[in-house]
Amino acid sequence: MSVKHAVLGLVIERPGYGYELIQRLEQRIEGWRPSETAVYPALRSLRGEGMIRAREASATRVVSAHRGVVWYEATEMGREEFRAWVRAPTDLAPQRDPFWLKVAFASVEDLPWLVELARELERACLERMAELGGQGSSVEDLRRDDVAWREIGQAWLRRTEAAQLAVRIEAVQQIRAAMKRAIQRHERSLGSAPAPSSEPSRQ
Amino acid sequence: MTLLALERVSKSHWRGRHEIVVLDDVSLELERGELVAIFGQRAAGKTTLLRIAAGIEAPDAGSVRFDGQELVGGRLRRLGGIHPRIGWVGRQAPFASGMRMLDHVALPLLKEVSAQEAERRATRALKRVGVGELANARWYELSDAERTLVTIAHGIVREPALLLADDSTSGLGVEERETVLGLLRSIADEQPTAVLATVPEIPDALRSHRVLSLSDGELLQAARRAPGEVIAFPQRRDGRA
Repeated sequence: MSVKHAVLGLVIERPGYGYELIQRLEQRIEGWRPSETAVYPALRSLRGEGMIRAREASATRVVSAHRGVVWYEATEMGREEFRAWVRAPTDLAPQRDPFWLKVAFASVEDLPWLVELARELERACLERMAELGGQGSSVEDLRRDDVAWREIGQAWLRRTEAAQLAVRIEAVQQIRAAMKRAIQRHERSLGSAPAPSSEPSRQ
Repeated sequence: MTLLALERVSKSHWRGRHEIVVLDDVSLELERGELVAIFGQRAAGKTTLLRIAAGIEAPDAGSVRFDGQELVGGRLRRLGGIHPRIGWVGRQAPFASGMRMLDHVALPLLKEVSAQEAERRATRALKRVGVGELANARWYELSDAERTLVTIAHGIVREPALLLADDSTSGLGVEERETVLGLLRSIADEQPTAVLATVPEIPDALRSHRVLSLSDGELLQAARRAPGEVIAFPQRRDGRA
């Protein structure tokens, strides 16, 4: 995902300064956890491109605690650019999980490690699932007439993440079982021929 | 305080000479006020795990403790019953199809209290799950979602300390699933009851306090970060089945 677009979207919603934007970003799209190191360069770059501008201190009547921080607000160009981005087609995001790359290129000898990695990955998914759980609105709540679109969109951000986690958990469970079977088969084939450094395996 | 503790439980089913490992060294602890969801695909052994947690089925190895007492192999099993403080939400129809739902739900109480009192509590249980109006309905008149809710009423009518729910969301639509899980969550929160629910789909687990997964005999759970860590998971070092 593009941190730049997320930051621009936030600034359009309402003006903010670096630290405040990071916090707001975490609330709004909690799954993504962009780091400070990504938000500040995004602000710099957006400003350089004229999408946002620093607010004039005199015009904002900023309280003293905020003296010295730079507030950003969206320019008309920024709004237009963002609207164009929202409406532009989106590519299918590529599979980026290195675990599957490892699985594809692993040798049978690597599989015991990958089985353990699969467990770790599944635990991590479960943990994230637990974080997502308990929060958010139910489908029924979202169907109410008085719900603002923003709340619905926000809820779906969470729901799609949950759905993706579910698919990952199922896939990881299946590959784990497949790897265990491959290990057993491998051990049996070693057992039939004398294997110097491994224990004599007997099923 | 721990209400239910499964410690290093193993269980196999046998198909002729072929051993199917259903549970392989599974440990789990559950407290009152917790809704814990166990996700597993079809035939992953979820129901076996629940039956063992209920004391209905004995594990091949390991122990099951409920409220500090060994659950399996004790007096209860010889009597062939389920512990009075454990509620079971299964998927079975009432044994007589023409029964009023009020009588169906009241049935578990009849050995303990008067018929009048049983009826009073059954009415309360039906209202609690939001289907008070179904008291005089028959099973064959109910939708799948209503059947699930009545079954939950049946499970909570004795106000159990532990409620075990076996794939209660299966066959329901998305909204109905949320209603059911929301209900289980509120039962866990309010009584407070320990609720262990198996779910056929991961998103159903979202209302729970913890999500565990069962596959290939292994029960996995996220590292617990809340205060009062209770689970020590045996670390596995290798990929042995």
